[in-house]
Amino acid sequence: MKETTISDIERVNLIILLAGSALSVLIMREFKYFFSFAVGSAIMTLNFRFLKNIIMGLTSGSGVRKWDLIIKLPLKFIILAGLVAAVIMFGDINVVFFLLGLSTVFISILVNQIICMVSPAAKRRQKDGA
Amino acid sequence: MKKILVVVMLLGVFVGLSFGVALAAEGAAAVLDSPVKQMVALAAGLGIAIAAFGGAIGQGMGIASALNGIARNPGASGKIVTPMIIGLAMVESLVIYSLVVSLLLLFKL
Repeated sequence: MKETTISDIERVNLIILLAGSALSVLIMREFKYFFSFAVGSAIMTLNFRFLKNIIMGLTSGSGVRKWDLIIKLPLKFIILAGLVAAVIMFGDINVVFFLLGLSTVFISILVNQIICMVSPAAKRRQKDGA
Repeated sequence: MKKILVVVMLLGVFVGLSFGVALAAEGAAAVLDSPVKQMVALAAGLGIAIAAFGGAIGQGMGIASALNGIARNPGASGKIVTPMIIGLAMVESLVIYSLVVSLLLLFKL
């Protein structure tokens, strides 16, 4: 099976963000749904990207940097929670589409795993009995 | 000495913030007249509390296991970190769902 990489998941994230936004506006014919899905999806995509950057920064260096652990990680979560709260309180959103947008990371991980399973390398290995 | 000063300053900021929150809560408590609203507030608080509790335990266990693995075999760091990031993102998503539901209960119901 092809190995999963974070950049693959990020790429699928971005594709789902664009495709989902386009589909939501095409199906529902109203920009409220587009806004709901796009905002939720963008929040989760950015969250995943920042999480990756912070954890990669933590583990790649020679030692653990206190700045990343004490400031950046909690700050990321506070900003994320603040954004979600602001969108819900002040934004005119559709809840179902917003939650669908927030599920982008789940969907992209699932899609990425399916792609890994049906990739030509995995099929070849199955055929060879490896 | 400098570190202690920073900690004390941070504590002061937190206490100040919590005072502001407490004042706001006092104002909000007066609005919560009907039993339904009280139950909604209770449900929102309990919901996010349980989600945060479960998420924190899950993330803690995941990070502890990953760091244990990296400490035992530093060469496998790259292979361990990727699933750890995916797992952390998924746990965090679940907590955010709960946050969204709690906020919806509080502000949109």
